[in-house]
Amino acid sequence: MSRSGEGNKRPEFHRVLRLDNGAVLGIVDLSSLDGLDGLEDHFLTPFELSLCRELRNPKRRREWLGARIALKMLLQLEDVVGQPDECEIRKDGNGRPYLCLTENQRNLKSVDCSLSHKGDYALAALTKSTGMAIGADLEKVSPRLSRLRSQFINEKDSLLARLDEDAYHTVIFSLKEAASKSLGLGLRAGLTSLACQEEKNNFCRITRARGGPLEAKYFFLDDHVAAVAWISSDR
Amino acid sequence: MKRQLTAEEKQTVYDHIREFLSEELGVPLDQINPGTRIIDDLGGDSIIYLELIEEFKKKYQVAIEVRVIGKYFQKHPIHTVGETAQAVYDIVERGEDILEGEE
Repeated sequence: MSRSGEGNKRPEFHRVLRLDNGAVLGIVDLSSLDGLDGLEDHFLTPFELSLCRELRNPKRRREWLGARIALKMLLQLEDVVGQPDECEIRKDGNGRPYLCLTENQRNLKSVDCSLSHKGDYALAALTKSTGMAIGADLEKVSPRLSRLRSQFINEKDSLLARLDEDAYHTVIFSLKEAASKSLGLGLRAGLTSLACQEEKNNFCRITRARGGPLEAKYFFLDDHVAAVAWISSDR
Repeated sequence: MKRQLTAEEKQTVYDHIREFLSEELGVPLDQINPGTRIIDDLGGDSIIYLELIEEFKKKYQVAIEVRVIGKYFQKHPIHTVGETAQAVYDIVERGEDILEGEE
């Protein structure tokens, strides 16, 4: 694997957060990647590179790459891998990411991960806790989600923070989207059937009609909302 | 609830999808064709699909849960404009019965 770009300036995390459950989140400011050379060759495996080159939209390509860089840097930070290309990010039939060691093509089942990107940022989440499934979502606060609220709001949703309408809906959506990603369900999760209730300090419990509850946390990043949700064992 | 869209109605739906994407994503219409991928080629996001669903549910007064649409998407992944149009045809024509015979 090419090591081109070594010695050049490398991307850095804009922010790293460690949750009480041991999961770690890494956020990359996409604008910080502009002008850095050799990122694709340094961070991506040949397979990932082929996927990247299929993305014709420059914005999409930047977001896609930024999210993968964030996750690969987390893997290094958490000593899961030594170099970014030791691990490959693939997606299963439900679009859920999983990790595969490039050396022996074996799935790395000891960790779970999630990716998201929106606007100026990319977010990666990683957990090494056995049996934990994690999902992360990043959204920009906008009236789009207020207009779509009938597709995800549950009458039992509640947040402790006093937020304006758009911020409130963005937080609820982001939390539920993170939950559906941790479950690998996407729209099938039926976001209106999830009830999201903040218990304290941005920590939420998400209950569902069938199955155990998920836990989640959200935080603001400028005019974005980042959310992470997790569930242990029961998927 | 079942209805049959005419060829002309399907063309209208398809044109509406193209115009919607062009306006929302700031992409010229001539760059939006049946094989164009909404996320990878046009830079759309997952919310755009919810917006399309909302648009057409209202326009055609279709009563269908998003959860059911999600199940349909799992069986019929939509990445391109053409696949999206076909999904809208199916949703409008079959509504809640969209998965009939497939589950």
